[in-house]
This record gives sequence, structure tokens and C-alpha cells, in this order.
Amino acid sequence: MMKPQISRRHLLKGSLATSIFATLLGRRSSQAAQPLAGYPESMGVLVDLTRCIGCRTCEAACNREQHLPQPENDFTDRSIFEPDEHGLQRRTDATCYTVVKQYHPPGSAHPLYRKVQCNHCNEPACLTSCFVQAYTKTPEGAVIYDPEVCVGCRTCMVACPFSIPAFRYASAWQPRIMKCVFCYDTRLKKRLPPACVEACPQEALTFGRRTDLLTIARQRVRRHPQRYIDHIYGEHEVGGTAWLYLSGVDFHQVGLDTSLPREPILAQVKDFLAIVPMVLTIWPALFAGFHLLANRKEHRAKTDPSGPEKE
Amino acid sequence: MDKSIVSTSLMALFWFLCPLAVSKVGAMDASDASEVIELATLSHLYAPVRFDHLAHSELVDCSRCHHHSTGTGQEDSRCQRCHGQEEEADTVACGDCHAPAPWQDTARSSPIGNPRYHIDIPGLTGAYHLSCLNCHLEFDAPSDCQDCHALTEEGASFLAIDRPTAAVPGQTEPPQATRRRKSQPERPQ
Repeated sequence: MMKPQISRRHLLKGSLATSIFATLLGRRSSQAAQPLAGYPESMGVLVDLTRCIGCRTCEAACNREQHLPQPENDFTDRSIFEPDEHGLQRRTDATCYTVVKQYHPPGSAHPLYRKVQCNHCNEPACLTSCFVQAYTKTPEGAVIYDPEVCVGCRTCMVACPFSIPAFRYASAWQPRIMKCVFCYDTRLKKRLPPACVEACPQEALTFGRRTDLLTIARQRVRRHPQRYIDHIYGEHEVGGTAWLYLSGVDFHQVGLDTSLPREPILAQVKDFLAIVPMVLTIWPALFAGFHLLANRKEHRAKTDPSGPEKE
Repeated sequence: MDKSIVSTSLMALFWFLCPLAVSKVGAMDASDASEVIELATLSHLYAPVRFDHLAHSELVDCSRCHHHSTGTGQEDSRCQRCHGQEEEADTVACGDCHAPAPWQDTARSSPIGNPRYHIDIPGLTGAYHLSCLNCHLEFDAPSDCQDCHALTEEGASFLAIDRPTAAVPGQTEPPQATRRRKSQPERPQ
């Protein structure tokens, strides 16, 4: 009696059914994942762009707190606001976790300034994109980075919707991502404000629980409707950020991307990323199986010593 | 040094005698103003600022900086509902309501009454700068940092002015060569 064998047709049928089932399962679980509201007691910073005077004290404080390299020019130098030969302003790099940028919105009597640093997203894209989990979102609100596990792939630099992480290319032996960490180890852990906030003379930066900051921000907008536009940048952008912004002009005029979705970057790539492990684990086995099945006769012929054809 | 001791003791004497002289008959005016006040919240970076209080009190209404506490009326209509008809308060010093470290939870919830309104009281340094600098900009008065503040040695080091170029601990590589040069033309402000 013949042993019941799995025919090619059966195998194909089975694998097709499995794929469909996996796809449905994946879809269901992605629908179940609701956008997180973030850690309830997480801290944040409210940046009031109408208050910033571009004094760069925050940069100096950051430089000292994080033991960053000595800048070429001192922190009172305002010529650094000038765009370079490519028309670009400074950005965060391996030597500075934060930079103040200057903007000249049309109709504004004086230049406006915005401090650029990591916004510490509730659901960070850098964290999502990192396949070795070098990033952590702490309950206090910081997005921190572990250089020990980082392999230097720099995917986080591509993933970040605010183009914040920078790479220390200059160091051949200790290359790593350089990025604002909310002064996590030295301050935030103890619920103390980051160095830049403490240094800001204008209190353009207000430190507190994110929920409190939203209340404060709404009160400012309500009290001074002529001073602020009615929007808190970072409340919903890319799933919400720990750093929130108030402005008197449209946010795109001070360099903030207003085209960002309300959902975290994760939501855009989740479906795709769910397939990746399936593809990586199932496909090799599946296609190897197809290959073996297809070449079974040949293989048997080769290995069977009593076969008719011998070379 | 002697001067500051004299002025401080004069101020103390003034504030001690002030309630007796004014005897709580309503509002303060420029004649009640102390002469010079030393502002030293940033004294680790900058030499204390000698604020000519008397001269400023002749330029603007007391309520411009003191809100309702001097009993001279309240400009802000939202504050008027509670503070419109108030007499002068027991204390009018900035530091009695504006905390030096505003991020502390105790300071964030108001030291003075209704938390529904007083949830956003700036810290002392913030209160000074938001009042002083905005007004200085409005009146075209000196408004660069060092117009009011003389840098201390520590302050100069903090701002990397003449900071020794020795490598900062933990960093081995030299500063990036991509930083812009000072020689670029400055945009007119």
C-alpha cells in the first residue's frame, strides 16, 4: 500500500491558506493596537516661541551639561544664525544636541527664534526603526539611547520626522548617535528640568508634567488669542511629543513640519514591518521546500546507486 | 561692597517703616518706590544688576510690573474681576510670588489662591526678563544681554568666551570643522 504523500498541490494549497490566515491575523492585531496616550506621569517642556529672544543660553547650558566639545565661536556669537552657502541653517550635529535657529516670517517686525532639539515623541520613530533596541522611551518622558548596543546603521536618522539624531562620524573608535537625551541621567530621573530649561532667562521653556503643560498652553492661547495661533504643536503630531510648542505665526514659518500625520510614524509602517519577520522566517523554508520538491526526482536519481543512469 | 550694604540696609529700613508711614490707606505711588534694588538671581553667571527702581517708577505705572499688589489698579481685564478694587498688598516684592525654581511642584500650583487662574506663574528670572526686556524692546531701551548684565568669570566660561581650549573630559576629538566662522556678515537686527 502506498504511503500517503503530500502532493505538490496539497502543499501549495496549505501554504496559501497559511499565508491568508497569517495576513488576517496580522490585520486583526494591528487594528486592536490603539494609539497610546503616552506615560501618564511623563514630563515635557512647553516652548513658547513668542518669548524666545535667541540668546543661545540654552545651547551653552546643554554644551556644559552634556560635556560636548568646545564650540569654535562663543555662545554670544549671533553670526551663526546666518544661513551657509547652501542657504541652510545649522542643525543638530555631533557637537551640539540643540541649536537655536532664526526665522524671518513675512510681516513680522523682528526675527523669530526656535530652539531645535529632540522632541521626545510618545511613540518615537527612531525607537521603532531600531532593530537592536538602542532607544528607550522612559516613563519620565525621555527618549534615551544606548551606544553599547547600537550597530551604527543610522536608520533612526532616516526615521526621525524632525531630523534630530546625528552621527559622530569624526570619531573612528567611538562612533555613535549623538542626540538630546532630555538630560535624563543627570536631571530628569530626579524630576529636575533639563539644563536648557533651567538656563532660559525668558522662561520660553517651561518644564512640567505634559498634561499640566497642555493646560497651561491652552490657558495662554485663551488669554492671548491675538498673540498665539490656536494650535499646540506636538500635542498630536506623530502621536504626540513631550516637547510642545506655542507660536504667534504659522508653525511652518518657524521651520516646524506641519504636514506630519497625527498618528505615530509607527502606524504608517506597522503593517509592513509585521510582514518582515514572516518573510524572513517563512519564505526561505517555503521556497527551499519548493526547490527540493521540484528537484526531487533528479536528487533521488543522483543519490540512488541502483538508478539506471550513472556517470 | 559698602554701597550695597548701605543700600540694602536702607531698603530694609524703608520696607520696615513703609507700612507705618503709608498706614494702609490704599494705593502706592512713585514716592513709595525704593531707590535701587539689586537683582541677583543669575549671580553665578552675571554680576548683580543694580535696578534703578525709582527712575523706572517714574516712567511707568506701578501696576505695569506689580500687577495688582500696589493697589494702583489692574490693567488686565481678566484680573480685574478679582483684583480690580484691591488695596495695596502686604507684600509687593517680585520674589514673594515668583519662585526662583518654578518647576518645583509646590511652585507650579499657585502660592496665592485660586489654582484655576494662577497655574502659569513664571519663575523669578522669567518674570524679570519678561517684564523688563519686553518693555525695553517696546521703548527702544538697551536690550542686549550685556547692556544690563556684566559677565562674571564663571559666566564667560559658561558662554565659552575665553574658555580654555583643553579638551572637555569624555571627548577626544577636536570640534567639528564645519562650524561657521565669525567673519560672516551680521544681519541687521
